[in-house]
Amino acid sequence: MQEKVRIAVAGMGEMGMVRAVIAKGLSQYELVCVIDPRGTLARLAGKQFGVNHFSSYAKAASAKEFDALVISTPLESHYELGMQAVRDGKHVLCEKPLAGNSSRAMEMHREAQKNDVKAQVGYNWRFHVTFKKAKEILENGLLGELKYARLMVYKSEVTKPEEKSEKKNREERFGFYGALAVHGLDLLLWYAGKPNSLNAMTTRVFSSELSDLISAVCRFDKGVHGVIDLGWSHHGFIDKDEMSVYLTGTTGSMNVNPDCIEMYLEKECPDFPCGDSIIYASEIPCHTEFWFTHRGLSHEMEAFAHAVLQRTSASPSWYDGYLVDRLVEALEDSGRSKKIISPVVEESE
Amino acid sequence: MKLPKVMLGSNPFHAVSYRGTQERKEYRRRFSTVESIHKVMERSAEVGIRGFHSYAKDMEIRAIIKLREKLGDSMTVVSILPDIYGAMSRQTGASPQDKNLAKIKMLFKNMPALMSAGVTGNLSPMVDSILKAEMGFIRETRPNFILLHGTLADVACVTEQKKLLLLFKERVVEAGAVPGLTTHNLGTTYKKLIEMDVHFPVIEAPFNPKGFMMQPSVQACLEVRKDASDVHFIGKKVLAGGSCDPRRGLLYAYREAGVQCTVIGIGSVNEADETFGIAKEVLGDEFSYEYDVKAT
Repeated sequence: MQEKVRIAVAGMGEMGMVRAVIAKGLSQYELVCVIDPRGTLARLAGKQFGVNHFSSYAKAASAKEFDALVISTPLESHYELGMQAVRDGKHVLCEKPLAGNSSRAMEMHREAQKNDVKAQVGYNWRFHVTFKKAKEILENGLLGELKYARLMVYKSEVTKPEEKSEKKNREERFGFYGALAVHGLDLLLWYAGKPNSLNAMTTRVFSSELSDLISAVCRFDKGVHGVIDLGWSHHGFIDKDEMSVYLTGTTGSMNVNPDCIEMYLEKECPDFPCGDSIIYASEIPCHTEFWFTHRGLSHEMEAFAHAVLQRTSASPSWYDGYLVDRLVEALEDSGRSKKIISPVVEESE
Repeated sequence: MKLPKVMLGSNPFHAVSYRGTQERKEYRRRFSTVESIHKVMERSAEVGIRGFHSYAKDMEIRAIIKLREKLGDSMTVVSILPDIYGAMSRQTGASPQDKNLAKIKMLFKNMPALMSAGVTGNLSPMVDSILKAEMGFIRETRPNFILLHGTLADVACVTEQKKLLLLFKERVVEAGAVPGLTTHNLGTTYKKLIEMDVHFPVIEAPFNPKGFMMQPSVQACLEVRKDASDVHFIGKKVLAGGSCDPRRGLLYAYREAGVQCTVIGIGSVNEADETFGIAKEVLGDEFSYEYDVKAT
């Protein structure tokens, strides 16, 4: 059986560098080459990582043997690069958001399926200890039947008028959604299921194309009632982003954020007492061969390697990426039209 | 150089907490002046602490200088370099809060060095210039030990940047201090150091009864601790980010993991009394022990 994933990283910006460092630190990977159209950067990264460098995916693919590609390039190139790579039979880990457009995201998903490759999207917060533990708690039925889910993502990133170029740059990167909100939306869908209908209110405080403040009520599969509350124009969130998910079931509730899980259970369970309890991230066992940043990125890359090497499903999949892209469109459509969007998702997996 | 058995950490002074947003906000409010940081340092010194960690952050540095005036050479300063965003903002004039702006300005400022590095693959001149600037920034604290920041140390090890690690050591020794590194991946990075044949006399790494940040596993970290007899280990995250009581954390670090020293962040004068009081009980006469560590 193949022991290592031979991997290439496209895009030597901040995320691409982080991905390459993690690939160097995990024994499941052999970093084969780096790709970036900016010659100096590509050359520098190649030399620092001790691997070849290429100015384009096409050149790398024709010159070098690699099984998998990490796409850490700007959003506008995800579709083209992703489609090309899966057609070439490469397994792909693509940064979030998948395409920033649900039709294109669905095309990417279908193409990956057709070519029988592992296609994962970089919703790394699923691998963060507290959010992962919350999923386990939910699946083990500790909260009973899930009835309500509320997502809150607040940042202080855009709190004053911006220069034209900065605004353009942000909006090309999918605005607040691309900055953090899509991570929260992915967690919400992971916990609550597919959205059926939603009614949103949106406000553009400083942006011109996408909203800065987004609130919505929605209904998910299996009747779960949900609330979405997103904004990057809140003040005072200066050191750490505020991202939390509150979940209520028939026998308990929990509030999950990157630091801890606060629980309330009606009955005692094996790991949790009846009533209030709190479990901090530092108390949840979490080991990896090479830990780098707190956001679950190492575990995410371990999971991708596992999917490739063991031929198991890659998760979050590109279909999950499609769902988030579609949810963003529905939020913006509903906010703009002041109408309820139903159904939100028309394409099945 | 003397490396004390128990040292005061600095995480709370720059609002690092593993206990949630509220505590981070509280630390930010509490430690908004040099005086408030100095007060905790001074109280720690009163209960017998002689080792003080400091990031290259302006207020911490000024508090350390103030403490130096009182304690002179009887105190040991352990500096962690570089504070990346601090270094950027010092170089570019951007506010430390505006990380994106600082990054952009830093890139422009270092573009010639970056381009030259891109052609030659040699990052050393650029890193050297940053190191020299940062060494200058902390000079007045008269650091006895200078440790390479964990994130950079981890990256340098897994990407096998032997030249950069040796450059760091050289500059620290030139500054009259003992070089070391901190790591979040002891099991993995130590293996790389051996492969590269790079030795650091001091390594700071997490050791705690919860296994928090002991990567890749508790067992691997304990094995490194056991095997690396020529390294002085400073245990950090001893209280697992506030998840275990000081007695349990200290007993684990000293008795089970067998580290020589520990560093603990303290958020108030009362906490200094309580935590270091427990350390005295746990260590007895060893509490005021200092190891003599050489630079090579």
